[in-house]
Amino acid sequence: MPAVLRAKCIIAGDSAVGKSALTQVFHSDGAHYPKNYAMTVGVELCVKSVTIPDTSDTVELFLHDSAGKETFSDLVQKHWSQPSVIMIVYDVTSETSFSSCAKWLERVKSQKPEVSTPGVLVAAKKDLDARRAVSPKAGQEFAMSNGLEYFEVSAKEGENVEAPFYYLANEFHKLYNEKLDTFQTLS
Amino acid sequence: MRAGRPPGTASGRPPGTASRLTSGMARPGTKGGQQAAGMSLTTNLQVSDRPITQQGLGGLKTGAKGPHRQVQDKSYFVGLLRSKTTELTQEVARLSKDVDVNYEESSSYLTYEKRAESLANEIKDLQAELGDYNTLVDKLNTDEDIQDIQLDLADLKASNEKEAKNLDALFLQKQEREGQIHKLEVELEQEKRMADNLVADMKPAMRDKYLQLKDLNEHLLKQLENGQQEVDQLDLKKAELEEELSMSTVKQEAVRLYEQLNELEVKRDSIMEELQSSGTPEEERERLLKQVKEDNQEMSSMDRQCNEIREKVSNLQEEIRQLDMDIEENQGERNQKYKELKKREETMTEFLESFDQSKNQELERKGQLQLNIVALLEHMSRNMARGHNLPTPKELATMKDDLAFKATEMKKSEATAAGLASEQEKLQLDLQKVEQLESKITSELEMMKNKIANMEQEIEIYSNLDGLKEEADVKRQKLSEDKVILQKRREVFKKIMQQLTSQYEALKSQLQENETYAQLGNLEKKWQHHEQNNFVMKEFIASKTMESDYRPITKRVSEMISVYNKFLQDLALRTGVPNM
Repeated sequence: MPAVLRAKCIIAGDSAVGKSALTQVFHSDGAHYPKNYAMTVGVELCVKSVTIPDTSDTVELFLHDSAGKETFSDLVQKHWSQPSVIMIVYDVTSETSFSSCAKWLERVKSQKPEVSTPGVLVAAKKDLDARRAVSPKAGQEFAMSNGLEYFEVSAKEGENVEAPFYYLANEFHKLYNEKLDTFQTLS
Repeated sequence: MRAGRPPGTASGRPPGTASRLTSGMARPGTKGGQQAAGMSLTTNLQVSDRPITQQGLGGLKTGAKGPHRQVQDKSYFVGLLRSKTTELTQEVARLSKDVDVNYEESSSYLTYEKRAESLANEIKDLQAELGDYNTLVDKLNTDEDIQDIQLDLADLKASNEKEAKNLDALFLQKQEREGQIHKLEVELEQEKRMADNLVADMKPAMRDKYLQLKDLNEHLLKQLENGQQEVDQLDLKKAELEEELSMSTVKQEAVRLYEQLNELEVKRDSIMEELQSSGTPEEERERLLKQVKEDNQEMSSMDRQCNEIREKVSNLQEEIRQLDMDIEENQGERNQKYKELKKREETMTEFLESFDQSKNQELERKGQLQLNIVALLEHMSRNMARGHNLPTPKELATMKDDLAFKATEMKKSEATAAGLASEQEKLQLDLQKVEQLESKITSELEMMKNKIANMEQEIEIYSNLDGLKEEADVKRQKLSEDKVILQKRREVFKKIMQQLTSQYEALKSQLQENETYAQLGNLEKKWQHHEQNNFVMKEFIASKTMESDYRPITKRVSEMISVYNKFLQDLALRTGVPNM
């Protein structure tokens, strides 16, 4: 029986790291890349359904593209209740954006403190390799220590954009199956 | 100089300085009074007024010449006394101040003393530390191992512990002693009390006697003490006198002579006695006999002494012999060599003595060996004879073949045995699996049985078709009722929805009409625009800084240079080494 699962995906990170670009490229299957920067106000929501391989199930990802500006942080966190999956984005050319990942992660986790939610750490703008300020090793170590999966993407080149979302959808599906199993064993 | 000075300048000077000049210049009266006078004609000074002595101004007495008060009456003295008393009070105040200061100093002296003590302690500590460091440096200089130091440390620690233990033991002993002393004192007290009690219990006469005796005892004790003291004094005196005597040779000589004199006097007395006693011949004889006896006794005692001395001499000789022996032993190498030589000689003589015997033994052994050889030869010949019965080479070959065949057979059988063992293991595993399967099957069987029971129950339920139909009807009715209700509800909700949507629309339009909202929107847009600009500028700056960043290029260039240098070096080595 095909099931449609709905997952609330929080996308967080410092401003101008490329959250919106990443979301829009993924949402439009790589067709639409915003060439100009447009500051996100509050939260922008878009829905993308992902089919899980080897099953007939699909996961609808409700992508909460949050504003990265500190001014909106209170407003944004109002929209974050009960997240299913987490995506933390940072800019490889900016050390500060990487160092504030812990802060963002803390904020999202505070919405759901007792449950471990699947999450990914996305290093964006990997095409700007010459200006790179954060080494992949540092990112991987941070991801490891916080129980996240590490991805490097480039929204501009459309490189590896789907991978983190697919990973999140799969993880969510797995969790769902586990829950299903536990319920069946209970009954 | 003086003469060449124009008078005008001299006259122009103030008179005070001029007078100073004249007084400092010379003694006006003795030498050039006229000149000086001529020099300071303009001044009012009168030289003749000054007291002039023959030796210059030295005789001038200012104190004596001071103008005294002419009338020395009561008030004058009172004033004098007052001044003196004020002086005295001032002095007293000064002294009291001094005393205060001294007190303060003494108080501070205490603190200083304390500080000095503490500082001295500190110095001591530091000196000890310095000593430690010095020893450490010594150790470092002498290249001692840390292990040695640790060993030393362990030794010191052990000895320290021992000392501490000793100290503890001594302390305990001391305490014990003190306890003993205390006990003894207590006992003594008891004894005293007992004695007192005894005295108290005595009869009056007895007690009187006791008291008398006690007095006597005390008296005697005192006397004894006095006598002792006298003796001590006399001893002291004697020692002094002896010392005095020893100081001078003349007095010693005198003492010697005195002693001689005493002896001689004693002799003379004895001779005189003899002379006096030399009365009758019988008496004489008796006396002589006595003397003879005495002489005999003396002789015997002398003999004894002689014997003793002889014994002593023999003892000493023995001792000397022993010492000689010791010395010989101690003479070491020569002695040893000598001994070795002696030993060798002994062995040689022994060998010579036992030569015949050993020769005989050897001959016997030789004969035995010959016999042995003969026996062995016989044995060999016998075996040779038997050798004819040995199998031929062909037979041997066949036998070898047989052996090989048997060996392969054996190997094969071993292999089969191993195969069988492995097969057995496999079969065992299979057996286990089968057993597992069996258990599974039994459990499945049980489940099936349960299912069958369930199904049978269900059959009972389903066999009652009418009942089921009724139930279904009831359910359907209920559901249709529900449907009606729900439809109603839906309509209601729809209406509510419409209302809410209209409300929402109204609010929305209101919001749209709101100026602030529009302004906010505009501002937001503006902000977005600015952010966009900001971002673009940032990107631009970043890209430009990256473009102008020469560091990677320098790094690359230096790397390339190093690679090139290495390459050149390798080339030089490759081409250079053969040439060299």
